[in-house]
Amino acid sequence: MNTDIAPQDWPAPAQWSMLAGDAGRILLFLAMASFLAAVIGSITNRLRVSRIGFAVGSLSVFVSFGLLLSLTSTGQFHYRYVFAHSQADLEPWYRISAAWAGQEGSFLLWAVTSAMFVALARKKTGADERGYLGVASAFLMGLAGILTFESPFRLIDPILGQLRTPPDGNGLSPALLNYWMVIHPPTIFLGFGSLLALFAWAAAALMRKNLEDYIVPIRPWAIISATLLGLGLCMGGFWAYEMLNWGGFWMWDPVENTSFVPWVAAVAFIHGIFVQQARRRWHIGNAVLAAVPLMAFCFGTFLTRSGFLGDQSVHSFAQMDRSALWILTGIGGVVIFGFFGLVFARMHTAKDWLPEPRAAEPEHILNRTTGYGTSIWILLAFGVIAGVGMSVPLIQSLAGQAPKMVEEKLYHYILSWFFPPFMLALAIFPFITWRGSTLKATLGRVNQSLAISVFITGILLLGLRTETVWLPMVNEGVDTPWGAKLPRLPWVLFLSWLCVFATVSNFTRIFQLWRTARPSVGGLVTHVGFALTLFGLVFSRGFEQKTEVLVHPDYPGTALGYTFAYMDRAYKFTDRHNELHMMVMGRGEEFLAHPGLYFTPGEEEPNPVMWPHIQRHALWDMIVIAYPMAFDASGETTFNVGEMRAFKDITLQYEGMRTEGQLGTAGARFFARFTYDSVGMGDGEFESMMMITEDGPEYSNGRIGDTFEIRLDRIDAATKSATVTLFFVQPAYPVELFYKPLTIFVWIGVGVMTLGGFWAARSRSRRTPGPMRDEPTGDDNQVVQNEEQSKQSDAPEPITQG
Amino acid sequence: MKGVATKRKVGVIALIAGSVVALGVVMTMFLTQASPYVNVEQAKSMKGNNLHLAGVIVPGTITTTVMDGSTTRFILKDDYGQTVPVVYKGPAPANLRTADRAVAIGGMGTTEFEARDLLLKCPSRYEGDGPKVAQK
Repeated sequence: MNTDIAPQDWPAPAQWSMLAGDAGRILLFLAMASFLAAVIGSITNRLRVSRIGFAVGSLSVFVSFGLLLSLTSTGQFHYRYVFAHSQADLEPWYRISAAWAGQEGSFLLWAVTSAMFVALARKKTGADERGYLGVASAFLMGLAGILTFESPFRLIDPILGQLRTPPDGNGLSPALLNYWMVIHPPTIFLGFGSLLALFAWAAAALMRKNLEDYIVPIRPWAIISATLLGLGLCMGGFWAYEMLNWGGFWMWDPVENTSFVPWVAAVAFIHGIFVQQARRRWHIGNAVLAAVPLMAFCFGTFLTRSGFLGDQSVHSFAQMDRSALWILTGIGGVVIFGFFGLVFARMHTAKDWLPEPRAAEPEHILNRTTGYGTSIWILLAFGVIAGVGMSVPLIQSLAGQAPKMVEEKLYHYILSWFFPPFMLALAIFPFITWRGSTLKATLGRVNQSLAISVFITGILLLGLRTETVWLPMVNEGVDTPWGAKLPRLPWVLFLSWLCVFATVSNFTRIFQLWRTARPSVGGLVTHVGFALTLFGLVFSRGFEQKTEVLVHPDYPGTALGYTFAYMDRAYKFTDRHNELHMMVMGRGEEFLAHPGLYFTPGEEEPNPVMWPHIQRHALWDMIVIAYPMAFDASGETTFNVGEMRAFKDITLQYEGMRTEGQLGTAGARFFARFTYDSVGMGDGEFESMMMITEDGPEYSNGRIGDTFEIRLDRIDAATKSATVTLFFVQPAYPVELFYKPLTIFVWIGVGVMTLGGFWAARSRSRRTPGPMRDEPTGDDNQVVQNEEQSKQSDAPEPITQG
Repeated sequence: MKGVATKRKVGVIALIAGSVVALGVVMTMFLTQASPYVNVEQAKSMKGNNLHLAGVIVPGTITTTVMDGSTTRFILKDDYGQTVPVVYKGPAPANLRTADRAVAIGGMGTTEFEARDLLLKCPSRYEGDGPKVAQK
C-alpha cells in the first residue's frame, strides 16, 4: 500500500462517489421493497404489480452493481469493500473484477445474474408467469436482504476524525491476479443465476397443477443453465491448473462441489425432460430435478460461508455477517422445505391433474426411458457423493463428533465405483430406442464403436511409448474401489478406454443422425466434448510425473530429460511482474522458461508469490514452478576427523580442528580445517571459524571458489567431530516440474461440450413442442434404417398404441 | 396394463430402496474413512501415515534445505500448546509463512512428524475493513 502521503493529507472523498454509495445503499433497499411488492402482486393475483415490482427490483440491483463497478474501477478506497479488494496500480480489468472478488460483491453478482435470467426467461413462462415472478422475487428479496447487511457500500472508519480516501487499497490476493479471475466468476455466476429461473418455473408449474405445459419452453433454458455451469466449472479447473493446484484441474474442494452438484442435477433435469416429453411420465420427478440445482447451491453456499468447513477449503471467505447468514439460512430453508412441502401437497391430488402416461409400452427393458433413468440416477449419485463428502464436517458437528477431513482420494475411491457404468451408459444409451431392443441387438449397434475405441486406445499406448512423448512410468500402484492395488498402466488405460469408447460411439451417432435428426446432434456433441474432457483429465492425471530440481547459476539442474540453466530475472523481486529466466534444453527442443516469483511485504519476513510457466506442446504440458531462492545447501552435516563427503561435484575432507583462546570463555575460537577436490574449481583447503562471544557465536566461513561457503556450527571437543553447513554464495532455486500428457483434450473437450450445449439449446428452442413418441421418431427410424442396411433381423418395430 | 403398472410400482420401490441403501453406504464410507484430526499427543501414540495434525506454525522455525531435493522443517503447535517438529520432503509452499493454520498429513517418525502433504489456511489479509492508522 502506498504510504508516501500522511493520513492527514489524504483527500476527502469525491462527491460523486459518496452519492454513488448512497444511491447503491438506497437501491438495495428499494430492490428489497420492490421484490416484496412483486411477491404481494403474485399472491393477490395482480400480475401487473408483480411485473412492475420485479422490473424495478431487478433494475435497482443492476444499477447498484454498476455503481459498485464504478467504485472499484476508479479506486474509491473510502469504501471498505473497495479498500479490501482493489488497488491503485492494478490493471483496469483486475479493478473491475474486484467487484466480485469479495463476499458482498459475489452476492450482488448472484442477485444480478439471477434477476437477469429470470427476466430473460419470463416471456416464455406463459400461464406460469404469476407464480414464476412471485417465487423468483421472493428469493431475490432474500438476496437483497442479505446485501443490506453485507453491503458493499459500507464506508471505512473515519481517519483522524474525518472520512478520507486512502491512496491505495489492499488489492486482490496474488492468486486472484490471473486472467481467469476476470472471466471465470461472471461465467459461473451466470450459471448460478440461471438456477433461480428453473426453480421458480417448476414451482410455479406445481402451484398451477400443470407440469405439462412448462416442460417444452423450459428445456432450452435448462440446457443453457447446464452449459454455463459446466463452462464455469471447467474455467475454474483451468484456473486451478495454472495458479492454485499446479498440475491438477480438480481437487473436490467444497467450493468446487458447491458448483458441481447443481451442474449434475441440471444435466439430470435435461435428460428427464426428454422422457416427460416422449412418454408423458416423470412429471413430479422432473419438477424436483428442476429445483434441486438451486437447493444444492443454496446448501453449498451456506456450508462454505457459515464456517462449518473450518480448514477444509482452499477458498477463503470472510465469515458472513450474522444477520445475513440467518437470512441465507432462511432462504435455503424456504427453498428446500417449501418446495418439497409443495411437492408433497400436490402429490396427494396428483391423480386428479397429472396427465395419463402415453399408453404405448416399450417392448424391451433396454429402452430409452430406462436408459435416461439409469443415467439420471448415476448423475444424481455423483451429486450425492460430492454433497455428502462436503457435508461431513456439518454431519459430525451436528452429531457432536470430532472433526474429520475428507481427502481428494476418498472422493476418487467412492466415485470410481460409478465411473465405469456411467461411461458405458454414455457410450451405449445414445443407440437405444424408445421401443427398446434386446441386449444383443443393442450391443450390435455399438460393436463398431467398441472395436474402434479399443484400436484407438492401443494406438495411443503404442504412440505414446515413443521417446518423444513417453516418460518412464511411475511404478506406484493405484487403489481401486475393489480394494485391490492395481498397476497404474492398466488401470489408467482402462479408464481412458471408457472415455474413448464414449467419444467414438457418440461421434458415430452424430454421423448417423446428421441428416435425419439434426436437432438431436447438439446433445451428442456435448457428450463427445464431455467424454474428451474426462479423457484428458484421466490420462493427464494418471500418467503425470512430478519431480524437483535445483537450479543454480553454476549447477544447471537435470530432470525429466531436460537441463535447466538459470539465466537471470526480469525485474526486482518486489515487482509482481518479476520472472526468472531459465534456458531449458532436452528431448529435441530448447525453450525459455519464465516462471514468476516475487515477494509481498510480510509482518516478519517477505511472503513469496509464485506462478508457473507452462510450456504447452501438442501432446503434453511441462509446468515449471520456481520456489524462493535458497542459500542453505546441505543442512547441518557432521564430519569425524578424516571423513570425506561429496556435495555436488566437490569432495570435502575434514582434516581436523584447533582452538585459540581459553575454552569456555568469550573470545575462544574454534577452527575446522577442510581440504576439497572439485571438478570445476580444482583442489584446495580452507578453515571455518566459530568464535564464542557474549552475544552468541560469530562465524568466519570457509569458502570454496565463488560457489560455496562453509559455516562451522559446532565442534565436539571430546570426539573432535565438526558440524558444518554448506551455503551457496549465489542463490539457488528449487524448481518443481510437472509433466502432464494429453491435457490438450481437456481444452478441446470443454470447447466441444460448450459448443454442443449452445447448439442443443438453440435447436431445442426451435423444435415444435410435445412430439408424439408413440410413433417412431427420426432417431428411431435412423436406427432401424442402419440396422436394415446391416441386415440385422431384430430391428425394433415402432411402438404401437396399446 | 395392470400388470405393467404393478411391475412399475415394484420397480420404483426397489429403485428407491436401493438408492437409500446406496446413500447409507456412501455416508458410512465417508464418515468412517474420512481422516481424523489429531493433536500432538495423539500423533505420537498413533501409527499410520494418514494422520492429520492441525495447529499453528511456530514463527521463525521454518527452515528449508535444497541439496538433494528440498526438505522443509518447522515446529507445529497444536491447540493444546504442545509442539512437535515437522519435516516435509519438498520446497516450502508459498503461503507457509503466512498461513493462519497448517494441517500436516503424514505419520510420526522417530522424532519428527513426517508430512507427505501440507494443507494451509491463509489469512484474509485482503479482506481488511480499512487502513490501520493510529488515531489521535
